[in-house]
Amino acid sequence: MRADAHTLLAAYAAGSLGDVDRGDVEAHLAECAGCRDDLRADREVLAGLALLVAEAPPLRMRDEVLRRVTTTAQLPPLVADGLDERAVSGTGAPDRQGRPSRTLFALAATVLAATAISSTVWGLSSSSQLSEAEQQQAAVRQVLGADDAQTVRAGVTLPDGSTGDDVAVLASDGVDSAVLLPVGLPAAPAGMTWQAWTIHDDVPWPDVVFDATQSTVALDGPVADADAVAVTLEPAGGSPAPTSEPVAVLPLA
Amino acid sequence: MSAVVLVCRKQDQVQSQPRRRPAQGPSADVDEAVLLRGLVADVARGDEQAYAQLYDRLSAIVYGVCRRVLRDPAESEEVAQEALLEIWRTASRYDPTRGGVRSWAVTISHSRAVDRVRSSERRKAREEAVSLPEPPAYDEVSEAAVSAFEVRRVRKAMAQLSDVQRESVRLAFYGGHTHREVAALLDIPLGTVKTRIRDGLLRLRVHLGPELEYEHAGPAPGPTRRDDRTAPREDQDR
Repeated sequence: MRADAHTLLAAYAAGSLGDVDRGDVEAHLAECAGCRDDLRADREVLAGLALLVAEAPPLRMRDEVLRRVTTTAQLPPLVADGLDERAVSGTGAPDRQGRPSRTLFALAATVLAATAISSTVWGLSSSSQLSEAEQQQAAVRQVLGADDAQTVRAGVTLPDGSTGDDVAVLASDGVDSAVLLPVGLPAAPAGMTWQAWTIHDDVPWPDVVFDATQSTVALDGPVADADAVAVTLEPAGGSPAPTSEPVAVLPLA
Repeated sequence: MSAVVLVCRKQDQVQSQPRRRPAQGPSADVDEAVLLRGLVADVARGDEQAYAQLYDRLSAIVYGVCRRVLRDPAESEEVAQEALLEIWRTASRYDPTRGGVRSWAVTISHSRAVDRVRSSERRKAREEAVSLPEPPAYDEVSEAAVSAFEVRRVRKAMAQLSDVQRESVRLAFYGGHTHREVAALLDIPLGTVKTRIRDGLLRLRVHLGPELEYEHAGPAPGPTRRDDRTAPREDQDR
């Protein structure tokens, strides 16, 4: 096997193996440090070959990529406890008001863990509550796992004109799923509720009503073609159309 | 020393590279490798300005790889963008013990380009192409991304390969062909292709080897390991 793996390794580095061979080599690499070293050396050499054919791309590509980066979430680093306060969101380093950035992925992941823990610790208080928690977890997990997950953050302007903390949404066109993090919202007044909307071609489609005490709010969607997610204050039970100006609008890429 | 280098291709493709290149030579390569690693660490923390600098240093390498494999400029641009976004997205997962930043970027780009080629119907048409155009002359390469010194060094190393080794390596890497396709294109046995690629890369390692050390943060791969790897076999020119 060793002789074979080494012969294949160079072809693997050069990207010229088919799927089956590739799988074999990857399996071998997982257990052979010497081959991992060889692969590293081969890849450095191939990076050298790439230098020979380097070609400046069109200027417009730079603008496009730098723009997309602002709404593209990043993977948090792998650390032992699974969460890192320095894990990054798509919104970058300290926010505009100079507060340390809320690490939204880490936050959502914390919620995921906390929800799992609480339903174990507290037991099944009611089957409907457990399935609600499960639904939230599934939605968060789905969006977190999506390749094209984007994080959008927006300030909150309350009906009385004051500004709240930010809210954020994690959305993925690919899995057609979005999760709102209503971090910045205060409790709705008595008789009222917060409601989410997805905006399609300037038309607000009603989405879930929620409580500001919820850490995550899975939206019903559809999300894939939505231009934005918005939040308004509505009478308890929600409304088919918004009855007031949005307190937050989160544009989606 | 140039302060700004403009690379003119077509009207809409002018890209300025406002970057001073350090003095050329091995120590410049070390500086560049260290700089790139620092930028990736910053990018992993969400630093968009660091990413813009990383983009300026890697985009020509990424795009160039895509262009060689995909040929079509529009498709190359698309795949290059995806690769550059993957670099942003997975910066926190970059592992310096697995290789230098450029090596990481090239692996991502090449892998995406090859996946695109293999899934497209144009694969059939590509199988007809045997000879590839020569890589562009040095002056077409953006100087901020790649130094003349580096290009000369790689060219010299490539010249040390036998013609058949070079041909197989180029068809596999630049051409994005599977080794079966290379065997078919050259009408040689599959085993011969694998051997030529392997020996070609080994020979390149010998000639580029000492400089490759600079890419690594930690100690180089153990000397005994490299020694019994670096001598290509006698029958290598098969």
